[in-house]
Amino acid sequence: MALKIEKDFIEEIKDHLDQSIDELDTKTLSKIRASRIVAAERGRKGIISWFLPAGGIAAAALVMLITLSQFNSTSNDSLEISPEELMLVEMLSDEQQLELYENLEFYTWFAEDENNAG
Amino acid sequence: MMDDFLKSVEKKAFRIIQIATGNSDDALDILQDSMMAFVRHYSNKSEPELKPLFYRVVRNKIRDWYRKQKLKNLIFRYLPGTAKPESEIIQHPIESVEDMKNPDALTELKNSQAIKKLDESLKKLPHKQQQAFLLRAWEGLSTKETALAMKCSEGTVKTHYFRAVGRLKQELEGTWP
Repeated sequence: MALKIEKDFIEEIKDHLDQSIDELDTKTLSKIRASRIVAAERGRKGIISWFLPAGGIAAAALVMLITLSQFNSTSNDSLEISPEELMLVEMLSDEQQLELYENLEFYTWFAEDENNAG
Repeated sequence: MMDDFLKSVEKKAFRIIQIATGNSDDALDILQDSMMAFVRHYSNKSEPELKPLFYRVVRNKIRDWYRKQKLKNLIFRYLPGTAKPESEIIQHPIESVEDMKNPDALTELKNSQAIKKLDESLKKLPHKQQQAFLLRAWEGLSTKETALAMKCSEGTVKTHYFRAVGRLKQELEGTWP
């Protein structure tokens, strides 16, 4: 009995999720469709990602820079890195984060602009 | 073949990402990235493998998005005088229901509210529970396929799924739909 109730409950959730798809607006649907067409087309052409090797080198250079600056900033022999800084290094060493790092200039500008505005 | 496959998963995948991120624009970006990466790496795979592998790519892209958000918040915290960027709150099309005297409109409103409440409850689930539930219950993946998509054991999938159902019951029972 409990199993049937659970099954009905899950079915009801599924129905509502299906319905949420029917309610997607045309703009979203056309963007989804465009994404699919581009992906399928690129798959057919077999595009080579040129910037991945460059991204890897840049990420390695960045990690080295942060590590070196950390060494230089410590006055004694002990190296104390806060968990937040460690997390920052770890995340920046991920190639996927490069795009965000490249936008750092924008975030800095945005912050300054916000400060100037008020 | 690839186009047909992507067509068969695109809408559910979008909703799964939208629920995970709480942001429609980011969900569209993640979906596009996922499709590109999937086509690039797995276009030669056999049909039964496609769905779990596609959702594995989606999972990785969502994970990257979470990391990016963390980094973004960290950067904003270090920059003086800036607040954290706020995530977009997904709005559902309740406002499109205008005529409350129309029984169809009332039903539509009730359904929209039910979807909104469901979305909120799904968002509250820990990410792995949310993924296990949506992939198993909605996308119809087997436990084995879900484990492949989530990069974990079948036992872990069962645990996450069981807990997700329990939490959703707690959250929705008596107030939903």
